[in-house]
Order: sequence, then C-alpha cells, then structure tokens
Amino acid sequence: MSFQLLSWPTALIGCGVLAAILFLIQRLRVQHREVEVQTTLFWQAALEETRARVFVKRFRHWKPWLLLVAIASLLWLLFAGPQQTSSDGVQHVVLLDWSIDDEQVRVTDVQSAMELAERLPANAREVVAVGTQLETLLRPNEDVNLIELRSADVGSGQSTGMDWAIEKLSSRATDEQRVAIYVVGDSVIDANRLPASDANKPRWSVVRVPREKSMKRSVALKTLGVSESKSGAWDRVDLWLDIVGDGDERPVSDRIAISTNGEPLDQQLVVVEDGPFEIQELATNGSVLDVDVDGQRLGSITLPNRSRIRISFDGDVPEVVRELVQLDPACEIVTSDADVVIGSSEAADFQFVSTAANASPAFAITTNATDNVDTAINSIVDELALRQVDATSLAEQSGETIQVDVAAGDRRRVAMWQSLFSSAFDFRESRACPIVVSRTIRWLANTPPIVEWAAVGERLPVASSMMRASVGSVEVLDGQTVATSRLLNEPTAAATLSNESIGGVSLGFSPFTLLGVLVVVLLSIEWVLYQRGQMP
Amino acid sequence: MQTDPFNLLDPKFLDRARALRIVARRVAPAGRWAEHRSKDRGQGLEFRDYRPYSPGDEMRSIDWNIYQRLGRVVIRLFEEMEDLPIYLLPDLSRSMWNEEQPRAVVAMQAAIGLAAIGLDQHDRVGVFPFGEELDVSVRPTSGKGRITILADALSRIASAEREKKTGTDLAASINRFKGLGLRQGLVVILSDFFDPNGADAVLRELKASKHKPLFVAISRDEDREPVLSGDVRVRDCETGAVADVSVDAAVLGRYREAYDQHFETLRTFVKQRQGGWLQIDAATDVMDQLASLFEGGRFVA
Repeated sequence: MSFQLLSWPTALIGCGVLAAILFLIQRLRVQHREVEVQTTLFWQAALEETRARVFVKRFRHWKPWLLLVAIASLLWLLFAGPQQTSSDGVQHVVLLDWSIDDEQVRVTDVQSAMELAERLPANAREVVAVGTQLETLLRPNEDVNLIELRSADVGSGQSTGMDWAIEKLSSRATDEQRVAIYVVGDSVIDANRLPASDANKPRWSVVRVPREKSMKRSVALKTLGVSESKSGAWDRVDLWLDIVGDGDERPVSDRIAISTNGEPLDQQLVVVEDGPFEIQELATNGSVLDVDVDGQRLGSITLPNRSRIRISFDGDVPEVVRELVQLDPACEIVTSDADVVIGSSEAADFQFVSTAANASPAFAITTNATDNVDTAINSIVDELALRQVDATSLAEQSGETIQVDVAAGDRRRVAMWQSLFSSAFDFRESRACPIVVSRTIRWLANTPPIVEWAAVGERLPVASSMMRASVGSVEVLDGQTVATSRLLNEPTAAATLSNESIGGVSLGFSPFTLLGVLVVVLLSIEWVLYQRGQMP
Repeated sequence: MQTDPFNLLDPKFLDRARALRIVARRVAPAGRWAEHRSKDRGQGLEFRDYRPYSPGDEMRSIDWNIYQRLGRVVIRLFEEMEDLPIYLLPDLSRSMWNEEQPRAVVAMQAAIGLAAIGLDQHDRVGVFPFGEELDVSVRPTSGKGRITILADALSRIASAEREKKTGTDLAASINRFKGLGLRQGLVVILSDFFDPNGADAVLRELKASKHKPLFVAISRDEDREPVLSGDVRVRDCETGAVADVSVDAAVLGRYREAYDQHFETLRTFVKQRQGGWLQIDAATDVMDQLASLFEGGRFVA
C-alpha cells in the first residue's frame, strides 16, 4: 500500500504526532460535570485507586486512548490517500484505442479504463491512449481521475496500430519486470505482428477488456478513403471502401448503399482482388458521400474539391517547363488571373534565375509557413521531391555547389537556376525533373496530396506534416475531411486475445474502502462503550 | 394546636406497628415493671433459683417443704419482669434532607413506628436526633399516650434541623449519648450512615457502649448504583468536598466495593453484638420493610 498525498514516513510521523496529541489531551482534559451527591465517601475510596489525567500521575486509560489513537490514525491514513501497490514485479498497462470517432463509445472506454486502473496496484499501473503516438493518461501513483481530465486534452482523430503499441510496450518487459497489457475495446490486433514471447515464461501478456455488448455493432467500416484517379485525371478520384462484421453471406455490393447529398450514387462498386471495394472516377467537387450498410450509416467522406491550377507565363521560361505544364492534367494555361505565375521576372511565383548572376542557390524557396523554417525545410524538400534530384551530378556539371535555401516570406515562391533546364545539365532528362516541376506547381498553388486511404487499427500509409490524419477522422490540410466509423466487431483475422478475467490483479477491497470500514467499526465500538459508561 | 407536618401519626401506620413486639433476651436491672425478663430477682411468676434466708426476707418466700425435709431455711427467687429502654437516634443531617422525598422523613416514620411498639409494651422510649451533634429531644418516657409527644417533639426538631442543614458526625453523637449515662437498652440508629469519618470511627464509639444496637439504614438504589457516567465532579452535599472522577466500569466497580465494605462493617458489628440490622429503601413503604425485622411479629433484642 502507498499513499497519494503523503509519503510513508510522513504518514507514520503523522500517526505518532496524533498519538502524542491525544495522550496530552487525555491527560490535560478537565471538563467535569458537577453533581451533588449524598456523600463522596465511596467516591474518594474509589479514586484512591483511580487517579486519572493528573499530569504527573500514572496514566491509566490505556484502552480508550489506544482506541482513539487507532481511529485518529486511520482517519489520518485515509486523508493520506492510500492505494494498492504491487509487489509482484508486474507492470500493468491499460491501452485505450483512440482511433474512435464515437463519443459514446469513447466515454465508455475511458470509464472502463478508470475502473480497471482503480483495481490495479497504483505504483505499477499506467494508462495509455493509442493515437498517432502513445499519449500517457495516467502514470504510476497518480489519481485515476486524471484519466478523464487528460483524455479531454487528447485530440480525436488520431490512430496508430494497436499492435504497434503492444510491440512497443512489450519491449519494456524483462525477466524481473513483466508487463501485463490490457486492451480496452475491440481494436484489431494482428497476432503475427506481435513480438514473440516465451510460452513457458512469458514476459508480457495481453488481455482484452471486452466492451459491453450494447456498444457493439454488427458491421463496421474497415477502410474508407480516396486516392488519385487511375486515369490520371486531376479532377477525378477513386473511392476505396471495405467493411467487416457479422459474417453475412450476402454479397457486400448488395448491402452497401452510397449516397451523395441524399441521392444514390450512380457509379458501380468495383471489387478489387484481395482488397477493398472501389468506385472509380468520382468528380472532385467537394460533395459528401454517405456510406450505409443494411440501412445503418457507418461513415461519410468529403471528396476533395479540386479545380485545375491556372498557370501563366511571364518572361523567359525554359521550353521543357512549358511542355511539362501543358502535359500536366492539373494545369490550365491562362493569360491572366493565374494561380501560379512562371517566368523569369521578379513577380513570378516559379522564377528562373541566372546561375552566375547573383550567385543564388540552385533552389531558393520562400515559404509563408509560420512554423520555424529550420523545422519546415525537410517537409518542404519532401513535398517538392527535391531529394530525387541528383545533386552530386549537378554539382559536377556546374562546378558550383548545389544548395537548397529555404527562407520565410509573405508568399510562397520558388526560384531555380534557369540553366538547370538547359542542355548543360542532364536534369531535364532525369526522372526527377517532371516530378519536381509538377510538385513545385502544386506546392505553389497550395494543393496538398490526397491521403490515399485509412484503415481502422492500422497506421496511415503516409506520415507527413502535410496532413493530420487518423482512422477515426482523416483531415487533410485542404480542409477536406474523411470520417470513418469505428470497427466494433472483432474481425476474424484479428489476433486471438484472452478474454479471461484479469489475472494477477487483486479485485478485493481497496485500501481506502477497507480503512473506511474499519473507522466506522471502531467508532461504533466507541459509541457502544460510551453508552455503557466504559469510556472515560 | 399540634401539627404533624411529616404525617408521623397516621393511625393505620400506628395500628400496624402496635401489632409487633420487641422482646429483650434479658433487660438490665433496675428497671420499671414491664414485660421483659430482667436480671433482677423479684416477685415475678417464673421460678428462677433458691438462696439462703437472710433477715429481712419476706416470710412467704421461704420454701417450707425444703425446711421440712432438710431443716434448712431457703427462700425461692422469681424473675423480675422489667421494661426495655429504647433510645431512638434519627439522623437529621443534611444528607437526609437532600432529596425530593427526604430520607429523614422515612427515618422519623420508622422511629415513630418503633416508639409505638415500645410504648405499647410499657417500655420507655427516648428520642435523640443527631446531625453534627446529639440533641436530647425527649428523654426516655413511657405510657401509650406519649406517642403524640414524641411525634410532636420529633417534628419540631426535624423542622429546625432541615433549615440548619448540618453535617453528620455519628461518632461524636454516640459519644455524647454515652455521656448521658442512661440505663442499658436498645439503641436504634436511623441513618444513611454516610458519616465522612467512616464506619470505623462510629463503631469505635459503639464498642465502648453496652447498649444493644439496632441499625436502620435508610438507602436508595442509586446509593450503590449511581447513575453517573463520563467526567464528573461529585460534590458532597454536607461537607462540600469535591472529587473529580472519570466514571467508567472500573471506577463504578471500586465504588460499589467501597460501599459494600462500609455496610458490611456495620452489619458485622451489629451481628457480633447480637443487635439488629434493617435496610429500608426510602422509595417504598416503611412499615412493610419495618415488619420484616420482626420475624413472627417479634424482634428479639
């Protein structure tokens, strides 16, 4: 047993101080009720044997004093916040699946975690929310109520694979310190991805804390998302969809109904071999698609709202760039009111500069991001696909150092050496050239890539600062949102976990309850003794 | 006009008392004729002994049969029947008045009951109320009609003592009583026996006396079983002495022990002196309890 508010020495010292105070009170307290009697003859005789509470005389009321000390000490220990401690060398970790977008289920899961944590030894328990990263909701020796408070601060719409979390936590286990993991909810756990454990002497174990049956649904979305259209059309996307659930034998295509703005969608589901369903060539008009299965709304997704990027040329533009722009289905060449201006003038967003003129870097990028430029440089380089550029080759050919310079400014701009696109360099023949150009145009037009798909219980395929995404809710920086339902039934492919009662955990009275009951019993005894006149 | 504020002359009460008898084993000599066997030889009816004739003896006392057979002149002696002096010592100290139904009234009723018995059998009865000191209220007197005088005197002295609120000094009172030089008789002490000096001091004085003792202890249940708990400062109603006590089972046990020992000392004394002991509960009828002293209607003193 340990205490939340006090250390053991403090608690013991407090008990000692209370005992001393009660001792003094017992000795010094003089509040006599005066009663006139026929004679004090016999009282005097009785008192010859019972000189009490006289400071220098023998202390006689040991039993009542001990009773009072016991009551006071128990109250003091109750105040100290007793809690159960573990001495069996097991670290208990409760995992809460945070890949959920159902408030009711989430509240229930938090309550389940709190109830479970209450029964676990306080010094060896931990509660972790499994999101895009592991968020600790409760540390050892903390009050379980913190779980509720901290969970409110953990944003929704984040997901990391539960099996990944288990893998990470199980790595803590040693021969001396075993780890017991409790999974609250019905997260998909792939047993094949879990690290191996010695069957004879397991260092870690996983127990699923099942959710109440009423909270389960018979069928749920497993995958929902969009990807770039296979046709390459800029204003088209393909929808991916998969469900999991009740083992109904009927064809899935007969059960799923997809509607947009209340009207049934006319496109047909295409079954992809060993994969999810697909609806191809959906217009990127920002409409919302609702997915119903057997009349039950499981999720919805907002399609990207994409229009072609308006490009204008200003001044001297390398021919290869002109050709790439003309071939890019996302681009539309205009003469005015352009989204991106490409040219050699100072006003151009995508500017080509002379190599030797001002000794500018090969790639000069100006970002309007408010984030620290130093931390943003990596993501920008990724977004512009500059890592695909063979910088060594370019340096040899130019005799200059190939530099990428990122600076902050009021708008996005990219300046490149014009000579890079000349015959002096082999850049224009490289695979990187069209990618860099198209990515640069999209970055300048502030058009992020699509998160291809998201699946319940699995990590997102792309991890990038360009998006904040999870299974429960995928939000891309352009404001488009993919909302998916929660997988509430265990898929048959999921790892088989123990549904047994939690082993190794004492489920008896908590120390707080036990001490409270003891105080009540002692107070009752004191009352009875007082009523019988046996308490001085 | 005589008054009876303490209802001592209740006719029914007196009639019930007169049905009882006090019988002395043998009273002291030099008494007046009455109903008790005495140590005097005289003109009674019961033959007691012979003794040689001496000049001055009555001729009719000579046993002529013995003279005829033995030639010796002896006279026959008979028991003299005399009275038993009864000295009533009711306690009128403050502790006897300190309750709603005073023990002093109970003591006076018991005293008058015993006086009625004594006067009815021609004994002499005297009343000597006491508190801190003895008061000779009515010297020993006889005659059935004297009961009203006794009651009146007792009422007057009781009313006075009630106001005076004196303490108790039974030993000093007995000492004073001994000094009166009264004929050996039955000393009836009617008291709660709560003398601050303790039982030993009382008994020391009584041991030096040849009177037969009859102790009538006026008590209540709470004397032995006080209804007190917790921290109490007990104040003696007579002396004002205080004692701070934390009443618990152990203390109550020791209190009862002291109480029992006190009265056991008194009981043992009267038993040794072939006296009488009667404990009267002040809360119940006096005569019923008084009658319990008289087995078969007689109390042998």
